[in-house]
Amino acid sequence: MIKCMLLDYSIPKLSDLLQRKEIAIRELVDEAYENILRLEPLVHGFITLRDRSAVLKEAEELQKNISKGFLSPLYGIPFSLKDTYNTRNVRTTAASKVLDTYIPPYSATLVERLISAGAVLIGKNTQDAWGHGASSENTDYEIVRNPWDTNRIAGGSSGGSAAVVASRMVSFAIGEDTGGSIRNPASMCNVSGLKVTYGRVSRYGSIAYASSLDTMGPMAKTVEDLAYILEVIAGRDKRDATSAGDLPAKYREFLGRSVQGKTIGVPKEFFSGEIEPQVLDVVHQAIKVFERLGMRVTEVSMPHVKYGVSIYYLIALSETSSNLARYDAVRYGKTRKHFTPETSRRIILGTYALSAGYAEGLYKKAQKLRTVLIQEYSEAFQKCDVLISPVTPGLPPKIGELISNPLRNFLEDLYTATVNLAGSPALALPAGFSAEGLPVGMQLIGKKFRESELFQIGYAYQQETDWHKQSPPIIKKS
Amino acid sequence: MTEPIISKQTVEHIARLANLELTEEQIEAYTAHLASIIAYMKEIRDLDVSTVPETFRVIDEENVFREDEVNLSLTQQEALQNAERVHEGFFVIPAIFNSDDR
Repeated sequence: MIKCMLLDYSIPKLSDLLQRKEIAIRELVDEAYENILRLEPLVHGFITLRDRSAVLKEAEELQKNISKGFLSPLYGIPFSLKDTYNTRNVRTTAASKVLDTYIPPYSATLVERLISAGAVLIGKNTQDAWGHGASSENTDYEIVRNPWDTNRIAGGSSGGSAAVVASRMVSFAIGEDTGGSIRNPASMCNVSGLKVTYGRVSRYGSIAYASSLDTMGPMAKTVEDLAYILEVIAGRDKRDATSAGDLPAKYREFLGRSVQGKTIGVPKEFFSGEIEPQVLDVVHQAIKVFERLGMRVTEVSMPHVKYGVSIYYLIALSETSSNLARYDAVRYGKTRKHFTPETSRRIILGTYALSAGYAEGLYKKAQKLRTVLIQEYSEAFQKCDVLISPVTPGLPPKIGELISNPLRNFLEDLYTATVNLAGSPALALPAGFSAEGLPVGMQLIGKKFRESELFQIGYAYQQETDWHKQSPPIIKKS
Repeated sequence: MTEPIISKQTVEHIARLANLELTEEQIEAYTAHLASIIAYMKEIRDLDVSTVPETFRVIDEENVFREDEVNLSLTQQEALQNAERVHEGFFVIPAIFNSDDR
């Protein structure tokens, strides 16, 4: 066996080693903090890091129950959270100075579920403030760097979460996706990320960006890991009235099933226009892999996806202008003058789109176009089981390129935002590298509440390819 | 529908509605940026969707109820712990009325 880091292993593998007492929880925690000591000064993936000795004490307590059996596969596994999740007694900022000193008195439902399962929280990850961005540069804290090239962005808005998973600082992280915010950084950092069906995971305790679009989802090295994490966090929550009533599947049972005869739809509108040729090539190679696996490929058309960015932004920004109204420095937080320029612009655009005289032509029009998009997705899914597309139109940009160009920043969401409008789930998977060694991901979009199918197909892909096994050169100890 | 044009006055008005205090420089900068984004969104303005209903939500659930029972919640201390100003168990808020109004 090639000696590698413990945090290179999958969750079920680590769980097995822990439960057979071949390793102790403290070894995982120590390795996490060793990697953090070495790499965090280069990567800046955390806004808040929990105190190592406090976490080791927790690990000791958890270790006592290891022999009891019937433990969750997440028991003892180090993880982190995008700083958008209220975490009891742990500072939570959403990467904004407005919440710089905010200590939540409660935890989000998904945080409670992960802690109950015995997972070990290491810290809170940096992001674009409030979810506003696709580069994690819209932050009041240190900008996270892509572990594959620290002159480049890690993607956004869950950039910190992607970077720390890629750097083996944690086994998994929970990100948040409103227009692509899990999938975009997953693609840029060579990790696997899942945007769930709207309503699959409770939003209770998550700092809201756009309430009809926000989803909470796992980010990890493999599809297998994502399945195990989703089993813990998915499910109805009576504190979130939009959380889905039907029971989630036992996702791990879908891993390893054959994908013969399933159909992939290729939306032609996602493969035209300005796309970096290397990105296009990666996705075409992925389609070939699926053909080898016995899947059928068919072309579909969704004409209105080309308006997707406009529709998405009109709805998301209107909703965020409303959600951010609560930050008035009365019950918590600092005053509104602490909002970044990007956030202020979004609030203004959203307020404008809802204001008298403009609401009809902007916000309401977007709501109607949303219906058209949902219909087009539905029609496409009559012809196929999943859709495939790139995640972003280009390679990971250099730091500063996107944040200085608001329109270009918006257009990063071209392939991802319409999925949130439809409410569908989507998986971003490592699918290749550019000539310079930059990660390029691809996206599989599924029917609503068919995360199991996405896992089945994604797992099959990861058995045939090894992109997801590559780790960034900086993590190798010198 | 009124032709959406983002002018400085528009941004000032909207900033007031959104309870944002902006400096002169910010108003100038934001006006230009916003104008370019609204111009981009022109592409959807001419689309005819008059017969299409709006989508308000993408879930099937509606009218989710629960029993009217008292559940565990935050203590008063927890609820107040992040407030800048607290007075005898109350949040202190900015004055709404002037002392002249009766």
